[in-house]
Amino acid sequence: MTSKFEGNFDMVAQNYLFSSDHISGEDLKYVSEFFRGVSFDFMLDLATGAGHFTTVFNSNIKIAFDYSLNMLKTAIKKYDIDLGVKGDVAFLPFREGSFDLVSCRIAMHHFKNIQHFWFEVHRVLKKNGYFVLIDSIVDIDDAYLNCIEYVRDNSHIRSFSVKEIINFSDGKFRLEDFRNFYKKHDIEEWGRRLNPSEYLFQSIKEQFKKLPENIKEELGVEEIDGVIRSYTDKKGLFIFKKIC
Amino acid sequence: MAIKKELLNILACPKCKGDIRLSKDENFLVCDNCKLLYEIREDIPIMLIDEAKKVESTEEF
Repeated sequence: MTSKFEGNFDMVAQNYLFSSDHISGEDLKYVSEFFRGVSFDFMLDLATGAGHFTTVFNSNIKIAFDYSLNMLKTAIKKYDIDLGVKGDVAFLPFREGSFDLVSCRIAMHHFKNIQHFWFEVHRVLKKNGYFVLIDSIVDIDDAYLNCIEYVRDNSHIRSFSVKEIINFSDGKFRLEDFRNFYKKHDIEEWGRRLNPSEYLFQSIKEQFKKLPENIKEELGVEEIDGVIRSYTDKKGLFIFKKIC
Repeated sequence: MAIKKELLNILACPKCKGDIRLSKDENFLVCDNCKLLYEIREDIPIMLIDEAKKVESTEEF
């Protein structure tokens, strides 16, 4: 059985391998610098996609986890990954306290069962283990951006605010570090990454045109000669440590 | 890329979180408790409860 979610990503695994939004970024450089000189025993990269996030950590064992088999195959072929595991982030197939690092980059907005996800991350981490989370964040653009994201990608569930994400950690994690990154998206690349029909792609651009002016300003929407060229969203980088 | 023993040791059944083992033919990960077989496809364990094969007994696997 192939779900809508799996099907979406199975068909576009190569697009994510070369996606400029995923393959590089200030967030990757920051995390790499933060953990410079730190060596982990077991790391788990959740919703690994094309596996880019696994490269910034030094770990003896790297496990890549995803709902899409093709994504996993793409990641394993490209990077030095010890094992790929297909599964659901709300039902992790690992023993309690297995990892000293769990990472997850630009994916949590797809998760249906967010409370289970956080419970499971906490369960599989060792005490004092790190959970490094990067995802799109929203504030005044909340409803507008979540709506556009859903039009573009119907596996989008919700991008959260910083406050909501910190609340998920629920006293079981300590927030060791937080950074806000601004990421400019070229509409042609971003909007076509999931291979939409031309009609859908034009609809996505229309959604940007219809935004209120203050939201356009918040999102840095660039419109040249009546054509939407880019927008800029916010990525939150959270470095949590399991404290109990 | 065969699954290393140290990796098998940290894998668990996603349903009961209990022990799993490699099947005799090495094509499945077996949860004796839930009587579920998780297929290994191209060296990638498919650890989805909905996609696991339910069996009456896991003895033969």
